[in-house]
Amino acid sequence: MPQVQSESSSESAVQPLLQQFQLLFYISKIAGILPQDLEKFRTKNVLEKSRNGMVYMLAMLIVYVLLYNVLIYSFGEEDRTLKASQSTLTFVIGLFLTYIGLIMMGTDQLTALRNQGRIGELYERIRQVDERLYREKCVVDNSRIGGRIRFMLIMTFLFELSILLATYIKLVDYTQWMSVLWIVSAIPTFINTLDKIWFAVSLYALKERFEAINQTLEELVATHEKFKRWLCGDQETSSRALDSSQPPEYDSNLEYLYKELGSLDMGSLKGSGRNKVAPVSHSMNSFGESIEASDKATHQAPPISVNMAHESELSNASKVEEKLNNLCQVHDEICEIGKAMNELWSYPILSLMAYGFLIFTAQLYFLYCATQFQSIPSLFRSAKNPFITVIALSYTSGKCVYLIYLSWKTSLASKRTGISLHKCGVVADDNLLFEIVNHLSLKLLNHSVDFSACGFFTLDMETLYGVSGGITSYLIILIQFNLAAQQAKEAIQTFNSLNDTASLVGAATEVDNVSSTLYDLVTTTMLTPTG
Amino acid sequence: MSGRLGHVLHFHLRVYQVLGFHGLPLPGDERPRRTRQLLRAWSLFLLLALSGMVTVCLTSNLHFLYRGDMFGFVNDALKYLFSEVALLSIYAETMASQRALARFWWLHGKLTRQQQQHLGCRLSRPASLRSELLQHRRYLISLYGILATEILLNIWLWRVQPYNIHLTLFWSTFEPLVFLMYLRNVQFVLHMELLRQQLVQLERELCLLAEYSRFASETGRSFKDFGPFLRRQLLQKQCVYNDVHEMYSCFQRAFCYSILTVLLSIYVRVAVDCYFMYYTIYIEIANLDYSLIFPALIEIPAFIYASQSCMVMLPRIAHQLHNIVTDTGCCSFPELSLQIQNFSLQILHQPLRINCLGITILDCCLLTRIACSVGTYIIYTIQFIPKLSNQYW
Repeated sequence: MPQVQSESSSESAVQPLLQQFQLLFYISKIAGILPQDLEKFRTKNVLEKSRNGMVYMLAMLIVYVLLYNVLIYSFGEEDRTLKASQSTLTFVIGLFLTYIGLIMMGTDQLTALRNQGRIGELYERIRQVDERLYREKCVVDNSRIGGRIRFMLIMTFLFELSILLATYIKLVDYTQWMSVLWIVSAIPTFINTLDKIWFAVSLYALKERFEAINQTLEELVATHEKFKRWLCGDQETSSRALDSSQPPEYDSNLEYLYKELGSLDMGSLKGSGRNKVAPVSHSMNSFGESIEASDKATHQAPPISVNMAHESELSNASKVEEKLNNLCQVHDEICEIGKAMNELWSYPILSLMAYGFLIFTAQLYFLYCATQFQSIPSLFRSAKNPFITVIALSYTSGKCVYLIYLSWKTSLASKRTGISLHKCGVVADDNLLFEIVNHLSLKLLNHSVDFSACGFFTLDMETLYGVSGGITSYLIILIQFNLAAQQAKEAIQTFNSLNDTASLVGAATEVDNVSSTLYDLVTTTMLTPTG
Repeated sequence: MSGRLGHVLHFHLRVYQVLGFHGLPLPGDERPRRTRQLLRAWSLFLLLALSGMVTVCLTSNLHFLYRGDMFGFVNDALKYLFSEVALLSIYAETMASQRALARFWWLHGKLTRQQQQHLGCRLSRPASLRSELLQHRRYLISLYGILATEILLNIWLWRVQPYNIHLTLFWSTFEPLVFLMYLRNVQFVLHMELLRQQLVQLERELCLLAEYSRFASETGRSFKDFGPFLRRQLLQKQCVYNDVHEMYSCFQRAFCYSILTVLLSIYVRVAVDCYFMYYTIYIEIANLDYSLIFPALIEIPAFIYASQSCMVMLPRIAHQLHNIVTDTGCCSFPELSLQIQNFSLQILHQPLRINCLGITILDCCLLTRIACSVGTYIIYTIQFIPKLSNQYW
């Protein structure tokens, strides 16, 4: 019975995480990213399945796909007329990447549809974790998450609007009414970003929980250090006489001791050993946060501090065992939630990373083409302007890099718990506690959370190294192909004009030999190097 | 920051202060707060001045950048751009992440003081300059070796090289940036060297403990409370290791961005200059400025050597730890074995991996990868040359 009471009291104290997600939920509901029930969310802050939401979401998906296809069709007319002047490579890349935004958006929405039941469970688990943490006197502050969501939404709107408006004003012929369709081109990225904000903020919440656990452990260590300093200050008065009588050579000098032990015999060792042990245990006092404080403690009378709490949980091993056990179990649970979350979003993340890589490379390549005054696919017209390109690239790469960075940070935070746990053990210096710490430490080593995209690659910073190398290499290769193709085209043009003059000359002089030798000459010199 | 620093450290930190790399007052300084503010302002001033210079170089109509072809132009601009990014991160870090750096030096002071206490009063007098030079020899060699190579090469080059407006303009503005990159790189080496010294000391003490216990178990001789004594020593070493690990994480926090950008800018410079070297030989111009690439070639290996020698200490420490014999024949110490397990687990939880922002571990593997990628890029860019010359030459 008392447990139920405490649970109900803690329930009121712990705010559900989803409360902070309200704004994000309404926007994503309207945009058709989440199928969950709107009414239930508003009244009870829970995500529940909803048939109507599913129908609405599917309808939105179909509308988006149709609109996007109309966009491609209406703007693709320019491409068809330009096909002759475009290089084949540019044309093929454009064709290949036309639908990638749509694929990414479809993956997001279909995955959200598949996961609609499980996402609610995930947040329920997080709420339970919060309650358990609350019982360990470890309060997680959710209030900053709302602000974070708002900031991310504002950034998204800023980026999308600036890209859309700048492209529309500078690069789209807005005298035609069909040009309004250009707005549709921003839909896939916008929907994708909203979906990723859900993931990023939930991940950030997990990171905060890991940090709260670490913080609790560190506080345990800090209070115990204070407690110890107070204790040793108390003992100092009694042991000071002994301290001053000891010659400084005995000061835990390992090398000295080793030599002594090597040369002396059994009998004298036993006598001197006791003397040597004492100062070693004494040197353990130098745990202090600041050396000055502990120095003072060893040389002067202890500073009398009245307001300091002279008790530490770490001095009571059996009591602290329960606390450490609970914290480690919560840590495990958070790791499990992290894995579940990663699994829910694995396909969207994979498609986002593929999109980021391809679009980054393509955009830079098209920028190069635009600087060489070649025509580029009309859907990628933002590459014609270097400034818009910079904004678009920083938007896409910012999304990918932030997710990677956050996953890496969360993973690091989960690993730091082990360090804090060991600090507890070392500071307490109790054999029973060492056994507990060893056990839990092994457990933590085996329970680490690492994020990956469907197992294809891990989401940590090392991936960035590979990806940036890949982008550079592909870009150089693409530019080389483009240069070669350009030169081949020029050669053919010169050849054609030469051929025309040659045939003119041939017609004028009626000498077939000359024109044929000239023809041979031109073909050999112009066409062989370009292949 | 507290405690005495040796002459060598004091002098070099002062040099870094003058360059705006070290934003903390030194122990002997009066009015530390004011010094810190002044140093911060000095860093900001240097950053603005150098950034202004780079902007002028990039935008001016004079021949700061190579004008022979578009590709060479872009390459020269890349060198400036990456140096500018590196400068930005260096000075931003000097101004922003002072807490981590202060913590690093505070921990360093604490650990050295503990060591001196352990060594007793016999060595408590200040160490001689000779021993200090010996102690920091790796750092000093990498600093003065590279500086001397660079200066000698510069003197030689400008005596031999016929006058060329582009080269004069380019190198007179780029060379200061190069020197700054070098000195920052060597500053990393200094910090890693200090870290390594702590690790070496820890390993030596553990080695002594191991030999000590082995001796006791072989001869069967030990004094009363021998087990608890070893356990206490181990506990103390655990605390020392914890501090060293914190020093490492402070180092990471204080320098992560500039490690990344400085190494990247050196790397870009090497890759670009390799291309120019081939290019000038290919089209037979009398420019010899590619010879300035040689000191840059030593830079990354010097850094990686320092970090690698820091990281290889960890397995050795673990090895020495498990060399400690828990069973001494006459009596066994289950508590000691528990302590060893605890230390071992602690080492597993606190690995020492010097990485820049987690992007890559800075060990010899990276050197291989860098060499491979420079080779690949050179092959790519060499393919450009005939195509470019057809268009522009």
